[in-house]
Amino acid sequence: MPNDARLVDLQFYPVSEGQPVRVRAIVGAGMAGGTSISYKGQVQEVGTDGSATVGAPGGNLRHSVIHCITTVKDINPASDKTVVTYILSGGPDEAMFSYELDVNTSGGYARYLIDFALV
Amino acid sequence: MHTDSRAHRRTRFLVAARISAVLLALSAPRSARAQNEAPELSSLRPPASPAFLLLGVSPTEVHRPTNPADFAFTLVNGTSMLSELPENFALEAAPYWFASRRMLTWQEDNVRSPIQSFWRTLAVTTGSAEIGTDEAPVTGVSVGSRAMLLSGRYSQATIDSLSALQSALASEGGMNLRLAAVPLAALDRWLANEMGKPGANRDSLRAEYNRRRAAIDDAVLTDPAYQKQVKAVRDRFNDFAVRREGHMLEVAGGAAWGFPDRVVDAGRLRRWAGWATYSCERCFSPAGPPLTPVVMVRYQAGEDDVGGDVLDVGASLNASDTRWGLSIEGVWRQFTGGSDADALYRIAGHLEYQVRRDMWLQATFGRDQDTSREGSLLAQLGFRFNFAEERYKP
Repeated sequence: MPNDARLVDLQFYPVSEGQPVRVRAIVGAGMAGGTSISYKGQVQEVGTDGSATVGAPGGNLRHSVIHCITTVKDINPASDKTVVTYILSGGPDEAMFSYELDVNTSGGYARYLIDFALV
Repeated sequence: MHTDSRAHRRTRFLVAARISAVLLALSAPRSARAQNEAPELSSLRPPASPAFLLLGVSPTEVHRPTNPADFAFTLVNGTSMLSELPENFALEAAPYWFASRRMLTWQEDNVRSPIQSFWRTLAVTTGSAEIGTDEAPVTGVSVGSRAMLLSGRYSQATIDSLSALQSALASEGGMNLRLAAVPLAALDRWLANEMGKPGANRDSLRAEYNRRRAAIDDAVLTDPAYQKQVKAVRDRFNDFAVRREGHMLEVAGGAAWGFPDRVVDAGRLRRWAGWATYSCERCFSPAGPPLTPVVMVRYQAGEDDVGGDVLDVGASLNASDTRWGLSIEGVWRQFTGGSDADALYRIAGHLEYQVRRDMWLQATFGRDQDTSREGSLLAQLGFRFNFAEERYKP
């Protein structure tokens, strides 16, 4: 854990009134990783399709925060670079946020703590 | 310039070990072969770094740029702005991975077309070293590359492990979020409050939020229960390595030049070589231990003092499991380029057994190519230490 690379960031995502938000996390660069999200204390592990939904039709998500943690293990012998892309939909526009982080050791781990403020 | 810990570790263990193993076992000229050599299961495969092998060096530091800017900087820096021949320089790059490949999941990297396989496995190496003597200095410069035109697909065990790893890492993050639930709720309230203030600046809010978020994570990382779960996941997948099976075709090539007294005009091609190896893991034994036939063709040409012109054709049959490996190989060698030397052949069997996590027992038996030479009877028993804990990876 102390040797894990870590990236922390906050993004702002405009939402639509009464619409849930879908979060999709894609672990790229041929690496393996898993994502969990937390919304108002409720934790969901993102499924094999890499997506999770928060809120329900008719609800108001504005001024709340989705917390995401994606942990990636370096399984690619050709690269140290891990890449995670978050795609948010449900608002007026779909938004994509990509991050890159090199692992500190071969076969090591990178942790992405990415939060989305819904505005 | 990017020389991270992976580069250093590979430099110390893998590059040196592989190059020396391949040099000793296969590619050295007849007279230069060491008596205590021992072929490895992958000995018929192309060298990991053809450029270094042709130069006959095991560099202690290899630059591994990870993007075009790194690559250019490393090259310019190593050649004094491209104004002179580099000195004791070693560079290895995988150009495909210079880009982010953000949508390339491991599932999508499972099956590759020949073109995809080529680009994703292409590695380019270049190196330089002093290969002459004090009286007659010669700067050697080499370039090489390797790639797989066919790279099979993930084994079912690998797919199962990757799926389990994905779930375990998601659970690890989930536990972190549960442990952080209270401070995260407070952070949510703080952010909502700050954003509601007139004139709230998102950039400064974001910076302060990130600082507070990192502090919450730091606190979770010290939680003993969390540490225990993370350790269990990490221990479980510590030795995990992706394994591919099916049809594989590896090709490699390289050339080395010598420049006496570092004079460019005096430079000449000293040696070049090409390798091609076909193998097929689990093609014939889908249920049992992997049985892998390997067929290899290798051609090396060069000046007599570095081995002359040699054509090698070889085949082997390998069987391996997680803790053992057995290989039987034969290599036929023909001297070309006007040489009237008789063709030679080598037949060897090799057994490996994992005694400890980082130690393998090795036994080799058979006959070497030149049976008139001392040590041509191969009958050896020894240990191999694998500090990188990385064994054969197709």
